[in-house]
Amino acid sequence: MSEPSKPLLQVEGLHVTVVSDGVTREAVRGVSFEVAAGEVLGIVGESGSGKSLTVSAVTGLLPARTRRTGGVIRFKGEDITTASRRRLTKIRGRQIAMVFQDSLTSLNPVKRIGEQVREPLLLHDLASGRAATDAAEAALRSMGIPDPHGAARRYPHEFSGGMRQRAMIATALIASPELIIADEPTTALDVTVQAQILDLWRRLVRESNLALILISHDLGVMSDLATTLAVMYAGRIVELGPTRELLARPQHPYTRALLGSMPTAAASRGELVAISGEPPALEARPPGCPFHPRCSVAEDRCRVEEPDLAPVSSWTSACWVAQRAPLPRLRVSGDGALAELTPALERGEPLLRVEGVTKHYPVVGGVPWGPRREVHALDGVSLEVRKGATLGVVGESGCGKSTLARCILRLTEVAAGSIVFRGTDITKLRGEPLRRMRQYMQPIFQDPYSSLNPRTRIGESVAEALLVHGVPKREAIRRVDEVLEYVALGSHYRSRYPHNLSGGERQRVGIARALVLDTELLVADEPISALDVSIQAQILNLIKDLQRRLGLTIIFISHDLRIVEHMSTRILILSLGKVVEVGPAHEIAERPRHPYTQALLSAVPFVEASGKARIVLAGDPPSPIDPPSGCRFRTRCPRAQALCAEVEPALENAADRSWACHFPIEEP
Amino acid sequence: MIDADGLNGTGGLNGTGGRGLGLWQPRVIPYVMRQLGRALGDYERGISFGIIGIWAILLVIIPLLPLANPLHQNVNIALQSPSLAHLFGTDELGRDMLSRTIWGGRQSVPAALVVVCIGFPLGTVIGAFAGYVGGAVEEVIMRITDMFLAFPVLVLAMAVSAALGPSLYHGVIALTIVWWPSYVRVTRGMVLELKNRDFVLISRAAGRRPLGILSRVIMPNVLPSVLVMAAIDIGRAILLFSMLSFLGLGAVPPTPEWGSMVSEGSMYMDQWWIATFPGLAILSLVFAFNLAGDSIRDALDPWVTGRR
Repeated sequence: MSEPSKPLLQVEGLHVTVVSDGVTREAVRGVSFEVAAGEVLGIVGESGSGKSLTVSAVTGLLPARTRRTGGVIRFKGEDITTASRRRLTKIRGRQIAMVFQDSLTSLNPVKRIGEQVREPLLLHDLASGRAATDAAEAALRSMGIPDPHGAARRYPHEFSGGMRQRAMIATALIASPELIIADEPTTALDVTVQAQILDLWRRLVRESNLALILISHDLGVMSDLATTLAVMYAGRIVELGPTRELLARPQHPYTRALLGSMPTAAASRGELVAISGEPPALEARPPGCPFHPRCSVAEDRCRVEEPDLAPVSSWTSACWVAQRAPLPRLRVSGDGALAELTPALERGEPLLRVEGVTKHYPVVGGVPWGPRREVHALDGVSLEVRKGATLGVVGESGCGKSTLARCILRLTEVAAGSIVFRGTDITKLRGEPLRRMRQYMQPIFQDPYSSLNPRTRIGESVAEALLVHGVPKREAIRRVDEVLEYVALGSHYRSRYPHNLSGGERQRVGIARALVLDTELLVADEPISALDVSIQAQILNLIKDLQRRLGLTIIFISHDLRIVEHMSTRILILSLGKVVEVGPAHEIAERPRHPYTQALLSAVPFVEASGKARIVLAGDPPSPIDPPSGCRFRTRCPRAQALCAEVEPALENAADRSWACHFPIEEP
Repeated sequence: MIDADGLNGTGGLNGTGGRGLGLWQPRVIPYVMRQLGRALGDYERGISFGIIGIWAILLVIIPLLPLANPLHQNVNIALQSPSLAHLFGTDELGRDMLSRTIWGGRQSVPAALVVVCIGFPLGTVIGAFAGYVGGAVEEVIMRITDMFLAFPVLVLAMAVSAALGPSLYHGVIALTIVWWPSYVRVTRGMVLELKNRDFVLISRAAGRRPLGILSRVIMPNVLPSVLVMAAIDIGRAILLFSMLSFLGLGAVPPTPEWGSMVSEGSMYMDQWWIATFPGLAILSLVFAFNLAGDSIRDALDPWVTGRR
């Protein structure tokens, strides 16, 4: 990339301690790395790995109760750990800038975008007044924001997520810093928008010769952007090397496990290679190599002695086994068992048939005499799920996928249409019959933290459904133990409270809860997006396993087409409240007919290089309040023509798949 | 909105509604109290319930105590400073201040308890109902609540006193009328926030009936915070009754009452003991109830007791 130059930032032996409950514990333990201009260092790790603390230490913005206890941080040769507060303030924002994950909380809601973008210029006396405002508008323009003059006058809430992220990048870049630290900069974005932002980053790094430190949990994003990759686990870097080579031949069992636990195109059907256990908590770090309890190749030495980073292949890894003899190339293969099962499942009788379901929400706010506006959450959605099958529902935020889940579960009323479940139209059910019907369909929600009542013991939470349906207490307890066993939690979990549980454990409880009755249909709304990568695979495997054992029918809702493809027999693509394409999972994934499906597929950053050029959609997803006329995708569609604006395409059927497009992609 | 709970960052759902009666800024004092409490650290619970317990016992067993008659006047010993014979001194009519200070609690403390014990359950039930049912019912309930909330408590107390004559009971009536709406607002706000949480949806999907969802799922999450508010409110009500008496709208002389005693004492600035001891009595109880509110919350909050 760039000529070998002196590193811009050098971190050596960084230690950070956290004080909690009066006990001091090391959260970052001897982290060293360097970044040069034009280089992108990716730091990947799960929650608690110390990745955010590491970069906070670099910027001197450590949170309360944490302290840097050792190490040297050199920025352009100057040790900034000993620099005065004034000197640090000068460096921060001027030479080191930051971009955060949540653009809604990181931008000040009461200040105009323009004011916020130009602020670094004023703070560092680089420009003032008119000049600063002009510079801010120029910066917004270079970020690809249309009408920068108007945009600068608007407030953050008037911007979309992608636009806010662009504005934040503009703010970070306006004082021409040399180093940018981006903490999960695309995690909160939709995949199509994420693809745009990743493109923008790539261009910025290339054009301005920036150094970028990128923090993420997503190896796909890393392989897309990072030139060097640092994998962190339990407060240390366990593997550090050039991204592409490292991901092709990872030399630390943790990196290998992370890669294995991601559903990839190559191994999309079989069981994922889940990492057992959970990342160690600060207070329970095992002796020796912190990864050894979860490691499949651990040996005696790993249990007593912690390895340091040492050269393996052409980079460094902290693993005794790899240091002795490099680990072989990682092979990913699926067992293909489910792929064979699929056709049989798709011939079963339908358990659920949704027809023309429509749901509009009134928009709250505005003046009472203003026009009444509505969010078109669902517009005439029809679908069918057969017994024992899994229907994957994919769509970006605002496409109505959660509303669909709630309509099916009868947690919200539908405006029109019918939902036939087990032979009855449940939209008409009220009172006692509705309550009885509920035993047969159960939800799993995204956030394991908010889906358990914080004041109820696990046992009571799981038993709730049994008790309200009149199952005697003794029988209920027996059943609770049984389902806790299903989800690999023992009966001793019964008396615990949710706050004592980790995210993965809570999600298991959520699943146990959904299975405690005679559940036939499981509606899983983003069941893994709030979990750490290594836990995600465990939960996916668990759901699949339970489906096989209990003959469940599942509606699996996610924004991640990669995961949905792994889980489902059929996929339904939802966009702005409309079905755009539906068909067998592998066909949708391999031969999309609708351009939106194609764009979604292409936007997901995969670890393995696909070789194909990525389709990056222009612009933002349109608002569901005022959907475009005709085809709702046309504003972003590369194939759109005049006809698309006038006539709304109907779902066309061919064999067992259908799509709604005037100009579908030809079958190859 | 920054309030006491927002400032120390542990309140979570607390402080969602305005609970001031507009007489004085209630947010600052609980805040200062809590900071003091924090400094006292682990002794918080012991100190607060200790003070409350001592007062409760004192007020119950006063007739058995070897105290002078609080109404007995002896002008010969008027305005004596504290001495062994009269530990808290005597007032302008020569009455024993120690006896009067302890007897004084028999007025405002029960009155405050009555007001909170009526207002707390009433307001909580109405608020929970309004928040859960929503729609037009909620609108109507909340507008009526707002009407009551808009009553200036002092003016109302004056009006009641003017109509029925000054008496502590009339003060209780006036305060009860304006007291419950604050619980309605807070409870409704919390129920509104909770009723669309995932765990409530899951309970609905499990087939729990609406009443069960409200009482078994939502309210256990609401009650602790409202309980904390009620505990602090007892202190506030004591203060308000003292204030009413101070203004001559509550207890009628010669009945000893802290507020009216402070009021009398304010005329004798040189005789500091007359206003000081009843004042300290008010302070100790208000302080104790504030601390108690805080420690109740700590004890009931699942997040504080066992954070991962």
